[in-house]
Amino acid sequence: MTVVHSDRLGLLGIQTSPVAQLLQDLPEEARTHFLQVNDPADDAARVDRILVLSQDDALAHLPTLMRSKKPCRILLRRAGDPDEAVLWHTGITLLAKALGQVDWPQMELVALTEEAAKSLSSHIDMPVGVIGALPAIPGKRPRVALKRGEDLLTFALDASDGGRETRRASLSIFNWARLRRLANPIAADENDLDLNDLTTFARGGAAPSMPVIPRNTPRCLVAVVPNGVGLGHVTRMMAIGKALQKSGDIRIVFWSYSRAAEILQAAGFEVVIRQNPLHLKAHPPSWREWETLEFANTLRQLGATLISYDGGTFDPFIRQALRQPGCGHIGVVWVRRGMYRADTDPQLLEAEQFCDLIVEPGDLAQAVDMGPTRTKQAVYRGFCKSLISQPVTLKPYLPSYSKKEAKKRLKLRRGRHCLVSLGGAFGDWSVLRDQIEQSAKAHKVHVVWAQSPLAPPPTEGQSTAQVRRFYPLSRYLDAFDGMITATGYNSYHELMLGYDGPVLLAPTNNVRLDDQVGRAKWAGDQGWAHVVLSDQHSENTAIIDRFMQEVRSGLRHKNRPQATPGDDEIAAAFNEIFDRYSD
Amino acid sequence: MATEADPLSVSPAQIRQMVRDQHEMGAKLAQYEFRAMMRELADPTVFELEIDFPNPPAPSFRPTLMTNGPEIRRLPQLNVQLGAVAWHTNPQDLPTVGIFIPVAESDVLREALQSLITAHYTKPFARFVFLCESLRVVPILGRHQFTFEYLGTMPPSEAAMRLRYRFGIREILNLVTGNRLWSATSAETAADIEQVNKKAED
Repeated sequence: MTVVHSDRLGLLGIQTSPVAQLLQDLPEEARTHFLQVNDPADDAARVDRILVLSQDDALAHLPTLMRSKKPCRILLRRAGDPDEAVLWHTGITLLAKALGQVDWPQMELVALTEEAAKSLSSHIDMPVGVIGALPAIPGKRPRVALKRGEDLLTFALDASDGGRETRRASLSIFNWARLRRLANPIAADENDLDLNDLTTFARGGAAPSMPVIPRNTPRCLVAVVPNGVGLGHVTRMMAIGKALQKSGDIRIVFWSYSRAAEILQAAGFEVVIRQNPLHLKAHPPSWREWETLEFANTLRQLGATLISYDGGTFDPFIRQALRQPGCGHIGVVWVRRGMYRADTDPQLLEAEQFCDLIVEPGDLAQAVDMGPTRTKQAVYRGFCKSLISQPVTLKPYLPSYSKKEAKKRLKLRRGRHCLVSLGGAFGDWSVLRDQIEQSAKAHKVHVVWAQSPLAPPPTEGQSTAQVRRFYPLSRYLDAFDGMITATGYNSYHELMLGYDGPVLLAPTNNVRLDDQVGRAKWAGDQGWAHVVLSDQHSENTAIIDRFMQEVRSGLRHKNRPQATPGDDEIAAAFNEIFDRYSD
Repeated sequence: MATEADPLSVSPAQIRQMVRDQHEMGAKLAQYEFRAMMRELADPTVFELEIDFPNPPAPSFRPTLMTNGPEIRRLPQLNVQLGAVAWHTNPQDLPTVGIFIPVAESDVLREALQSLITAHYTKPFARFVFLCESLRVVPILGRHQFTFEYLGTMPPSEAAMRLRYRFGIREILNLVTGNRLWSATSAETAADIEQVNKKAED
């Protein structure tokens, strides 16, 4: 089910201006589809009515606006910067003179507030109405003082410990329909009449309550997942999606740059698959224009009230899309795992100001996390809250196969089997591979090589009898008497929390990825797993031998941590943001 | 790093040799990629991802607002890749063509793709935008650096106008039947040119 818009309002002027963004909160515009009008001569035919966002825009297009014969409202603004009062006076007088000489019955002049309407009406000696009244937003919010030409917001926010903390944010990253749900904006300068009008309008209060919008039911989350290396982002976000769906009726649509789209669809999630500028070798700014437009259109079509992003760096198109008219009732959750490398640029943290919530899926190795998400704090934190949840894995949401059934499905023969899932990022993979095969042979263990479902089929050089492609791994764990795996977030936590056989961790040293070595060593220190490192081949042989002995003997580990369900806390945190933006 | 003050240490002959090498290496790399893709397409399970979830799959989502906005006329056209399996000195000279991949038996799709890719490798004649009715062909297309769009249940003709502005496609052909499903008419072209000229004058 999607949102049905009843009429089309063409906006002439700057599309991302605060007034254009606030329109969706007017009760009478609750079902409106906002469209950009660049040139009334070309664009008027596809809209039902036009709102001109300032007197300057009206002056620039007056003849074509009149010829369009569409119902047209012209928003008059009072003077902002006192230094430009003469310029403002010239503009408004010129427009009034021009309008006084024409017969244009479909035209109406409006202002932002009653006070502005009265003032402007007396100034130009023409009737001026009020554009409408926004309902007040209930609940306590910080007061933010705005000053013309200044982008930095500084305000005090209630801290989780009961005190107050100073926060900063860039005003320009917010859609004002979103901003008024996060803060009470006021004008710092009482002489700036226009900013006073704007902030008074934004705070609302004249209309009794928020409009009842027939949005799609259930609530809708759009989950943006980057391409990444492997299936880490997709798998983690699917686990969170399953947790949310378990807690209530939530529609989740993935906006995916990963080719794992079919996996997402098979897991029960709707998906929009996209290609990034690297895939297309496209000029990034050009690509970004398309993404902004189509992402915003999709959010409006779905009536989404929340987006999530699982990744390190927000592409600017996400911010740009959320600043479009009609996209202001949307919160942002950043799903950001920890364990970044210690030398990671802490600048990545600054995206925090754009978010309502950061959910950090808990990491068993958090005690050795030396990355900036643990050791540093963003300078610009905006209105964002944080939650470190219990570790998140897909396993609790998928029924596992019994040992017999799993072996049958994977066509495994009798005997001991060890699954090897290294990904493509381990340092000297060929040496490790030889060591594993030799040791397995010596201990009469059958090695099964796991291949990503997105990888090509096995080549001629590989023994197809030993290679399996399947997903998700967690349903088949019982088929194996031991596991050798890379140490990405998902594999690590699925095995440490949901598998009791011997595990050998082979962390990647790919600098683009998380601190897998730190994560693996932590498990080694706790006695949960053996660890081999790519730069110590001579020691690895003995470690692999010890591991294979355990596999051969059918050893079960009893000392690994127990999984603690984290669905409820994640769902509660997401629902708080859903509530903020659902009218 | 070299500066303007440094004497040139590369002769014109060496530059010509580098251009020849680049051409040769590009062609060799394409040959390698072509063989890899053909090897993959020879495998009957190439489109099988072996995904095993207990629930039914989600329905195909059709983002209608992506296709009907006239605002796409203002957006810049995006590059379309030649694909890693072919080599051409100037791929931008080749037209862009939409290739609709319908839902069909694996053998039918493999055979059709093998024919198309072989022709493309032998003598590249176009840059393709693959329009997929199903997601199953996406991984192999992505692996070999092709441009693709997922249409799901949307008829190709309905998606055509957006794709024309996004990628500059002039026609859409069915991969399996070879039928032309859509082509830009000369009337549309004339109207567009007129509009572009008008904007330039303004």
